[in-house]
Amino acid sequence: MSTDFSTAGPLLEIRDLRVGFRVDKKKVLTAVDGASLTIYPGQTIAIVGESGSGKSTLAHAVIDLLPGSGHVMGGSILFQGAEITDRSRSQMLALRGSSIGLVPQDPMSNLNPLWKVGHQIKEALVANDVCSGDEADRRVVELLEEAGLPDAERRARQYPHEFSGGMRQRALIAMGLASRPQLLIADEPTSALDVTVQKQILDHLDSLTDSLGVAVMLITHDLGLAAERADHLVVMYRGKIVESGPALDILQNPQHPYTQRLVSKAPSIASQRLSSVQARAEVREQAVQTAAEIAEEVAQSAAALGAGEGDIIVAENLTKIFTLRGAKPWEKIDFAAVDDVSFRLRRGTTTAIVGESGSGKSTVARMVLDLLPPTSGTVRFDGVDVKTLSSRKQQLSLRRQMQPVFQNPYASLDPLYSIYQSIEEPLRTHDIGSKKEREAKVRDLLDKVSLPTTVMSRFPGELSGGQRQRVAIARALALDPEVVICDEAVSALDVLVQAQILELLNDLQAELGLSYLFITHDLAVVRQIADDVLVMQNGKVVEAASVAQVFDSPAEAYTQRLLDAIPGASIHLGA
Amino acid sequence: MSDIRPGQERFVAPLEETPLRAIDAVDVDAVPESQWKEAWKRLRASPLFWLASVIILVLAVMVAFPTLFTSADPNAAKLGNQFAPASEGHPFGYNFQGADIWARTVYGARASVAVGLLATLATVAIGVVSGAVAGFFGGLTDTLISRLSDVFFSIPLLLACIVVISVINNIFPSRGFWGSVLVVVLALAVFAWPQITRQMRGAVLEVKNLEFVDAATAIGASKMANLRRHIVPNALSPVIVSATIMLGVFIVSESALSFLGLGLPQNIVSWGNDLSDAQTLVRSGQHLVVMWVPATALAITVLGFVLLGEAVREALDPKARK
Amino acid sequence: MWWYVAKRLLQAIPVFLGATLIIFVLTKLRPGDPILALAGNKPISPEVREALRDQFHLNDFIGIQWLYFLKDVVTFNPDFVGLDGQPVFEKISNALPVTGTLALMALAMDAVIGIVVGTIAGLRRNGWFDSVTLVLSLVLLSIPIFVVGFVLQFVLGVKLGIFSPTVGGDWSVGSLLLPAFVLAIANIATTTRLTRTSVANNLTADHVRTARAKGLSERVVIRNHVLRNSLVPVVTYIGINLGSLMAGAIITEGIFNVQGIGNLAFQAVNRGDTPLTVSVVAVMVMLYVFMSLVVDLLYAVLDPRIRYV
Repeated sequence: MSTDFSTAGPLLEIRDLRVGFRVDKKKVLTAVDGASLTIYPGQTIAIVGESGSGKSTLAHAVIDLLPGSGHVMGGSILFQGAEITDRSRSQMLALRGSSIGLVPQDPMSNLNPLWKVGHQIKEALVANDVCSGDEADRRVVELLEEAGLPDAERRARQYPHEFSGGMRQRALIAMGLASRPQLLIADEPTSALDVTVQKQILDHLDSLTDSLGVAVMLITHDLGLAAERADHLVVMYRGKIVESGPALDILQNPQHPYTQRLVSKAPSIASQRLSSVQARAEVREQAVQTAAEIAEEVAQSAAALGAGEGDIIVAENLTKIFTLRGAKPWEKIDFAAVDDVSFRLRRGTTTAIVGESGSGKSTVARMVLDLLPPTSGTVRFDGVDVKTLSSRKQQLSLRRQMQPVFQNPYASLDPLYSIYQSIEEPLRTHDIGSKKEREAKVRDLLDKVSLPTTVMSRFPGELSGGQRQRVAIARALALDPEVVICDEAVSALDVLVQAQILELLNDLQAELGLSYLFITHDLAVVRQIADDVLVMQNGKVVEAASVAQVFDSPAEAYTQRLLDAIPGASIHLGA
Repeated sequence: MSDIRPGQERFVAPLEETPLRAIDAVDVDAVPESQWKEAWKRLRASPLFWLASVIILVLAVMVAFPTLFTSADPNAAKLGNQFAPASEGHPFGYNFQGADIWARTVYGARASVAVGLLATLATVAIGVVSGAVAGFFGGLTDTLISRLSDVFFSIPLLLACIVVISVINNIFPSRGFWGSVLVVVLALAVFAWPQITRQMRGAVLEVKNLEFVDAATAIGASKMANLRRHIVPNALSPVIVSATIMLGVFIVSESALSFLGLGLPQNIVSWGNDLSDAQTLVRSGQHLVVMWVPATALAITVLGFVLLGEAVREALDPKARK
Repeated sequence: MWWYVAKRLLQAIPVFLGATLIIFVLTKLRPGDPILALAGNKPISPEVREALRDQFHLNDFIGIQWLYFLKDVVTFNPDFVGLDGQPVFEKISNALPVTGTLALMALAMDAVIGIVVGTIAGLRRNGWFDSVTLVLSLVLLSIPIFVVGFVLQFVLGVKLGIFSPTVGGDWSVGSLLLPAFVLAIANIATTTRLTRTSVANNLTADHVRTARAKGLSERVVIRNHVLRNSLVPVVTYIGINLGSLMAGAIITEGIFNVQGIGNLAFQAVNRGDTPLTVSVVAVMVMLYVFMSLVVDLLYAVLDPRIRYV
């Protein structure tokens, strides 16, 4: 049921809006500084920005749901031609749900865990006088089906913790659209979900809002996703709108320097360019060469663990089975997190292991790192079977040559250790050098990861996510390892920071001849950093090939689905 | 979608108004601040902390140098002075036995503080170790320690202390100051440790899954080194808060036990003993000052520790208050 | 859900066994000749002595004695006598109702006052009500229970005569009002703070914002999404308190002369009446274990996530 909206006036007009948060008696932090935008009925626009850009604040200001001390400081918001910033609470209440709906970001924390899902949707119907009682119960099931939830009638009687992430998001969508609002604010509705699930849900949301004639304000940090889903794009940076206009135009011809940065660096878009492929090839060439030199040294040295082989890590038939408790206390279920996985990592190159949640990729990493013993299968490091290492000296040797960088920058550094202490710890554990020498080494490492040496006396709590990740990388390099295992090392970072860290990793690989095992769920990132790819699903390897092969002519259907699901994949840009 | 509608024209903000910053730059001028330093700053800003500190400081001085507060002898009891009113050097007069009330209160602080402090130290020592071991090693060790702590936790503290102390009273009827204090401390610690154990275990369970522990293992740290260097220090915050409040609770418990005649023996000057003696007087409503003075001292002391515990809790977790 | 119940029940048994064993062993450590006391401190012949020892299983291994004891406790054996020859469990059964009533009244006061005051403080956090409540609850936590008891007994009982200062053998719910309140005060303070924190935290929770975004009125949001979620930790805390209330009753019963279990226990310990002491403590432990089981079940009812663990 598509209505012709082409002659209607704007649905939502924001003019020069300023939103601030009161920090203390004197200071006010301006989160949105003079933003203006327009949305027409039935139209989908996207607001793109990194964290701290003010995009979420802007969205919440529209329905007067700013957290804490947030308040509108100036400007106006016009909904259907009428000013809403000066409305009383009860007037605002009337707007919420029935005229403007919200689909919030985190599906777990946004549903009340103590009420059934169906009840929570029914609440929306009753509060907005749509219907009540039995009729409302029926309507709830219809709405859930409409949102794409299978077996809706049974699901309506369940609790949120019995749903998967994707199902919860669908429930939230059903809730947002329950009272048929004219405008739907979708605040990063899928960023917590797997990529293929994301695509399904967004496709569904698109067709649903099209058929209902609902306008959508889509908030996202992903430029590719925004361009794919919306016709009109608004780019925000540090509280201000820096560029706006037709989506394709902005992507093909960005004019503001910030937008240009985004377009050139955001992995989902950048990965398609030939230039990034070439850059990677250069890095790899250099790295392989340096690695070969190191291999020579290793082969001749008696102290090093291995034999200087070309395949620095060989995993054969790795399997990990976890025994879980069943529904009854004596029941035990065997769950194969990793099922017969084999691969080789060649010196100086990067092998990426790609998969969605539950694919087992992180478990593989932990087994390779010897943090988790495999149920069966072997891991050979430079020709030596890891299981045969018995003496402490041998184990320490292995640790020296293989180091991890983990995903969560906020948990990978001990908050009570200073940056210096965190980076120095490996040196201290292996009893390397005197205090002076260690300090010099720490300085050198900080330099390598482009952090000022004054950072040494700071603590993790004072640094940003990207900075902490760089410290984690410095720590990983402290022992001069040959292999670095990156377990979703960039997944928790903002887009531009992600690009920075990827660049850093590439530079370090070329300079030091490192070999990387790169675990990620993001195929777009893979192209910029990997040479070989292992695609995993449900514990098994679905496809193993070079990066070029996987991207240009994938053999498996699942791989193709993953490729299709990369946000912005359908947009073709120039080189 | 081809026509551009009003309000959606191509717009580019001028660069002067929207200057670019370097991506993820480090603020070079900021002063480094560890978690403890931050907590200390918050503590310093809390009025509760200052009030508590004053109380505890006065208490500490009273315990160490009682002669600064009174020149009378708390044990000097002359029946002729029974209930004599306040006079020079004896601000609250005399009690039933003819001893100086204020002097007894000043000297009574020692017993209470000794019991409170020692009992807290013992309880925390047992609790931290058992909780860390249970949380870190899991499995059978955890089950054993948890069941054991359940057993001790299920016996009401006061009751258990009554039984234990009366048993020991019969076996060792005469003990000196320290002997008596030790008995009470032991009785309290043996039945109060489960509380600390539970908290420590919970905190250790949370911390041991954080990635920096894995990172330390990957560096080559042994399990024990990990426990010592990374897990326990990060798990201590809730225990610190509990221990502070427990100090207050133990001081009250000592006085409750003395009130029941089971705490410190009668010949030792303690607030609990004074309050126990004052029982009959209260019912008659006369000479209430005998009760007021030690009771107020007790209440203020406990208040000091409770306030300190509250201030420390807020300092370690700023989200708690706001 | 039922596996959760069964599992909790199974866990409760060793706790009960362990607790009674500890108390049993402790009281056995008391020196002195129990037979002499049983015989009223009169000299007795060796045959009578042997007979008595047999009757009270004093010749058996201590573990067996403990098992006999457990049997007596669980069945409330009317033949089990204390040192004065009186049936222990009869005394306990007589004393239980008044202490039980006292504790339940205290629990009710704790729940009602604590939750109501804590909720208001949490909803208007950082306001004057909140600050006053904070100060008041900290102060109340600090004053020892017997001081409070004395003060209130004196002021409200003796001076103003609103309540009778002592209860004695003839008790009624009305006469227990003051003692129950005294018993509950410290718990009220903690319940208030816990509720306040819980409510304040939930007010800023994500799901509350989503509830508002749906268009729910503020009253519905507070009721269904803030209070409902805040009550879970508070209810479990209150339930567990029943155990400590029964123990705290010892002092309160002493001050107000209530002929309850607390008094019974206290006098038993003083007299050295081992069987009575151990039995009272065993009964209290049983009650605690039972209450914590009830609380865990309640928790599962209130929070659906627990049921499937």
